[in-house]
Amino acid sequence: MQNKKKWLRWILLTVVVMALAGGAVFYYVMTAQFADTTSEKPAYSISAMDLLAEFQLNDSAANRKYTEQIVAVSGLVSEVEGADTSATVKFVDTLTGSYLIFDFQSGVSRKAAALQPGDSVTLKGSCSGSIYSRLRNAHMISFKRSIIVE
Amino acid sequence: MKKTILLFSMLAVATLGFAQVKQSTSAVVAFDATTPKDALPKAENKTVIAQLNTKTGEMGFEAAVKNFAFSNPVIQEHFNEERWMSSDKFPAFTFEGKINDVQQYNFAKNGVYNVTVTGQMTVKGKSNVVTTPATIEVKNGTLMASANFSITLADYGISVGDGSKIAAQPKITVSAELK
Repeated sequence: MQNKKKWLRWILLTVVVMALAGGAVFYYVMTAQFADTTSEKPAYSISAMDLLAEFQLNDSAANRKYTEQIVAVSGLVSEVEGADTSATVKFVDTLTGSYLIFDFQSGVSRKAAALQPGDSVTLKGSCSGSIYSRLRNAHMISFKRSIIVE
Repeated sequence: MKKTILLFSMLAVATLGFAQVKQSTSAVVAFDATTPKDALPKAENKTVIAQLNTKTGEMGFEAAVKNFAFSNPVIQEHFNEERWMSSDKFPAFTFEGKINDVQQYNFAKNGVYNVTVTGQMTVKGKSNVVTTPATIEVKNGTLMASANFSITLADYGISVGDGSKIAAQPKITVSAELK
C-alpha cells in the first residue's frame, strides 16, 4: 500500500514537471523574436554585383547557398524607394534589370530613406532568395530585417 | 528629314507607351491570419513588384513568399514549410488582373478613384479568381493604390485545422506607390 502511494506520488510529480517544462518551452518559442541583425555575424560578405552575377548564373545553387543566411552586401546604391516609415534600397544590374532589394528592420528605415543613388554602402540582412519576375523579366533577390553597416 | 521625323515619331510613341505603365518594386502586402487565440501569424512583405497599365487597366503583383517578415522565427518557419506555403517549391505569390470598366477612369487626372479589380490570385501553385474593391489616388502622375480583401486558404490547398489558431480567411492588405 505504501509502495503504491509512493509510485503514485512519483508519477504525479513527473507529470507536473513535464507539464511545466512543456509550458516553459511553449512560452519561450511563442514569445521569441528575431535577433537584432546588427549583432548577427554575416555568413557571407560579398559585393552587390558579384552576388547578382552568382544568382543570374545559377539561381538554384545561389538560393541553396544564401537563402535564410545573413549576408553583408557592398555596392553603390541604384535606387531608394519609400518614405519615413518604410524604405527599400536597390542594387541594379543595368544590363539585365535584375536587382537586389533590401527591406529594413524597425528603426532603420528613416536612415535608409536618406541614402541617395550613387552612395557607397554596406547593407546586412537576411537573404530571402530569388524569384524570376515575369512582370520585369528579371531576377529579384530580396532581403528582410536589414541594417546599414556603413 | 523623313527619317528624322520617323525616328521622333517612334520615340514619342515609345515614351507615351512607357508613361501609361506605372510600376513599383516596393509595394507592401500584409497578411493577417491572427485569431483571438493567436496573435502571431501576421507578416508584411515590403518588396512586392506591382505594375498597372493605366490605359488597359491590366495589373499584376509578384511577391517572394520568403520575404514575408514575421516577428516570431518559429511562425515564419511554419509559414514557409511544405504543409503551409511550401515556399521552396512555390517561391512566389502572383496576382494578374484588370480594373473593371477601366475606360470610365482618367488616371492622367489628379483625384481619388474607387475601382473594382478582378483577377487570378496564385498561391502555392493554385489559382483562384479574386474580385476586390480598390482605391487609386492620383497625384501628379503618381498612383497610390490600396486594397483590402480576404482569401480562403482552403481554396489554395492550405489546411488550418479548426481555425482557432490560424484564421481560415486571412486578411490581405495591399498598398503600392506606382510611378
